[in-house]
Amino acid sequence: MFLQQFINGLSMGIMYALMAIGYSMVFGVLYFINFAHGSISMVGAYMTWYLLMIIDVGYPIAIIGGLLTAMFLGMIIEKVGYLPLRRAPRLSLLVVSLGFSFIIEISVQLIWGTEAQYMPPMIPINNYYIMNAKFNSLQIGVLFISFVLMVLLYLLIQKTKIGIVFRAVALDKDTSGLMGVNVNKVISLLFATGSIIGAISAIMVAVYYNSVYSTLGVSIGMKGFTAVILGGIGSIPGAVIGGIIIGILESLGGAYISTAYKDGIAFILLIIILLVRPAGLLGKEIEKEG
Amino acid sequence: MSYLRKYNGKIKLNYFQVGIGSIILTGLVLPLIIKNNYLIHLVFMSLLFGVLAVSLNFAIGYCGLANLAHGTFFGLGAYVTALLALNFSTPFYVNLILGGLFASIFGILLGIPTLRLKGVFLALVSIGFTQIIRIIQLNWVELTRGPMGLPGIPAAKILNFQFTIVAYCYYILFLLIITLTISWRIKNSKIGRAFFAIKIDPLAASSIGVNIVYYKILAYVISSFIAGSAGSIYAHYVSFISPDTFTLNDSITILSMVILGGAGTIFGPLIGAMFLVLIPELFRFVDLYRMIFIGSFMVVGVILNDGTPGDFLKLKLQNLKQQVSAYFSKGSESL
Repeated sequence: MFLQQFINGLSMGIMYALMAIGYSMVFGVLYFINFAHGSISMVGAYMTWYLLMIIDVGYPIAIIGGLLTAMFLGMIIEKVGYLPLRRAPRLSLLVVSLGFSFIIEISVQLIWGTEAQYMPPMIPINNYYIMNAKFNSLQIGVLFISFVLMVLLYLLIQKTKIGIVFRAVALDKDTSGLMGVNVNKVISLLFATGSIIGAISAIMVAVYYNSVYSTLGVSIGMKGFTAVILGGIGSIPGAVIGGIIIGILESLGGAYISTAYKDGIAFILLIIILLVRPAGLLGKEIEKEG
Repeated sequence: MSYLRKYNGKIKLNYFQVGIGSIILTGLVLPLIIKNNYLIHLVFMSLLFGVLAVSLNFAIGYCGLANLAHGTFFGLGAYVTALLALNFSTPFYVNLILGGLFASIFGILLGIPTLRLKGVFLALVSIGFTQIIRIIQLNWVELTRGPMGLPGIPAAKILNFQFTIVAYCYYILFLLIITLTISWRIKNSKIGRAFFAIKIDPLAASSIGVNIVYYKILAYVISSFIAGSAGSIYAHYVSFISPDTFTLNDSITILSMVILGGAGTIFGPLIGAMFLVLIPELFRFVDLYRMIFIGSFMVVGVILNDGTPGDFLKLKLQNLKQQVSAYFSKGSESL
């Protein structure tokens, strides 16, 4: 029972973690929670479904199409909404991102309807057992893809030139600008990367639950930013750990306490962590805030 | 308004009186001359959201507390009223006070633990708070009937006179006047100066002896009390409430009313509320379009204002003035 819930929680948590990375990357540079991130990722999942089930182009192209849609949407939103507000109070950015998330969600409902749509599994589902705990090939796929993605992201940020620029901009926008970094371009690139990772997470959630629906982005998005706070804001390893912890605790809480209050666990955790250790598990104190 | 305030000390005193006088007059006359019940309902709703926006302004505009749980305080007031009226058939004025008190208790509950937090973090905790309250409302079926909601809340009545829709308009107008007066009184008092000091720089404020804990909690208490009272009026008015009556989206809408109207001003939030209640009615035929409108209004409005409402217009005016003077000076040169 425990092991079973642990496996379910882990595979859910790793998807939250991917979602959290997008929030964390944006927060690291612009110091606000991009509420539209969940919705952008949801559009990626919807586009994949649309290309796959309606246009019928096969999985690989559908996924690429979905990821590209999310990427461009993220970049456009950054250009239209956040670029003019670089020096504005952070609360205004928050309101703008909430506005975008309204617009995206309602547009998707208008275009594709409000009911959940069927998303077929990507790979044949086989069940495996470890000591009575069942897990299937989808869960292995999710864990594998997420792991590969995280390693790639780590390499990107730590080992490449783009990664150095990312870190420089996160550390100090003005100074890196003086050093010849095109800050706006880097932020745009950051949104592209974050949106792609978010869309991968949303597609995996859609495949995992066999359905895609317009509030998917908001529901995993909420868990995503909780994971960011838990792990330490602006810290990518923290976001990963936070996501996994939330996934596992939710799964265990759903099994041992009550399924009705399952969704509340993440929020109670959020409040506790902000009260006890506002910087999160791995984060450092945030000074630039307001 | 801010233009007047800036340039003439005497007008500053009058504009509140002029504003409140015209609101009273409009609020009293409008429900009487409109015969269409739906339009009166719109008057009621804009007054209601006006109350909510002006009261949220105490926390956001005055004290700088990014509270995204205002809809929840509103909902708590409504739930308390509904439960009291259904189970104990208490009169409406008792419900008004008790709804407000209950909401302000939760305001303190949210306020005390979050004293250290600010900005985005506070916004996140308040979102978590709204979600927890919502989950409790949905799942505590014995008390709240969960998602089925509480139907049949009796209408407010004095002796044998049952409140009509016009009476409800006057009732909420009464609350709006009180709220605006509080807003005015706070802004021009020691409390208001303390709030603004905390908003601008908490550290500096505490170093000159402002009791930050006291004033932050005070901001929560006042704003949640008024929201709870508004919820009480609303519960009597609609007679059916459910957890879906006040969602996070409503809190966000109220927040954008404040931000768009002008955080920290007295009538700004009211104007923002009227705008966001009345204009989307043009898109009434499809409810979804309304939310798109609100969303785009949030985006466009904030970007135009560049976060600090009023600045955009001021800048435009300045530019215009410069252009005009440049044009004329150029003209004189060429002459």
